[in-house]
Amino acid sequence: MNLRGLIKGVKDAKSNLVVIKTARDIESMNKACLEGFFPLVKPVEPLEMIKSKFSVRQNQNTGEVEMITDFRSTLRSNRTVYLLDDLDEDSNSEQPKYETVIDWTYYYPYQFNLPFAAYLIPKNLKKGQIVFVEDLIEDYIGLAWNQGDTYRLESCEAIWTGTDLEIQYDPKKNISEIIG
Amino acid sequence: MKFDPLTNTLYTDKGELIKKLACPFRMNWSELQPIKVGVRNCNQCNHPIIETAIFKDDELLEMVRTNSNTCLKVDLNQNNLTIN
Repeated sequence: MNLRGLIKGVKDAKSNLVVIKTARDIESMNKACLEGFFPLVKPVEPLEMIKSKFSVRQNQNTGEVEMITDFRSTLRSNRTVYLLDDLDEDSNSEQPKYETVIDWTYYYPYQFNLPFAAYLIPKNLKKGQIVFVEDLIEDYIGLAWNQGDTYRLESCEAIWTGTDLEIQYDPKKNISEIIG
Repeated sequence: MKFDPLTNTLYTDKGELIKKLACPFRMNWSELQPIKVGVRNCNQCNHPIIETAIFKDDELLEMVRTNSNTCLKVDLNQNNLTIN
């Protein structure tokens, strides 16, 4: 088989992978047992490297608050104010006076109902079989932004070892781009 | 345009939904076959993939509305994008 045929074969197989669902509540886990699945329970452990940033500004006249997540938003806003100041000092009093009430802060941006979840493993899954995990329980970096924010990888292929799923995370993939 | 990385959703600057990006195949843009400037073909689904960095919001909206199978490529670091 030539390379083109080999790549096509791999891609065809990829599109036909068994999809492993994730249960994130006990009711779904126990219901899956009755339907012939084995819930492979895993702890939900946030990866320290996954983080998102925010800052909060508040209009000092009206009290309205604004969340900012992009450094460039602040630069644009500040620039606008400066330009208006330059044009007309009197008009400055009519411009919204925003003040930073929470400075740039990093946080873990995901929330889950339980501190554990379970991959629902079909009982007929064969050892060594490649599967597609739709909703990863483990944290891997899926997207990264040059402003320091990093986001979870949502799904990935995995290999069933007979007792566990080996997640096939590719750290070399370009993690600033997303296609879909 | 604006992108929400928590939901992988792309919006116009005015907040109109362009598309929620969802592809199970984790395609690499650099490995896709160019069709013309800013457009590459995905062999997996045989869909065009559009480079959002070189199009305007209304152009992207039009493309997605005309062909809902159109896929988009977003790079978090591209200049015409803010992250929500």
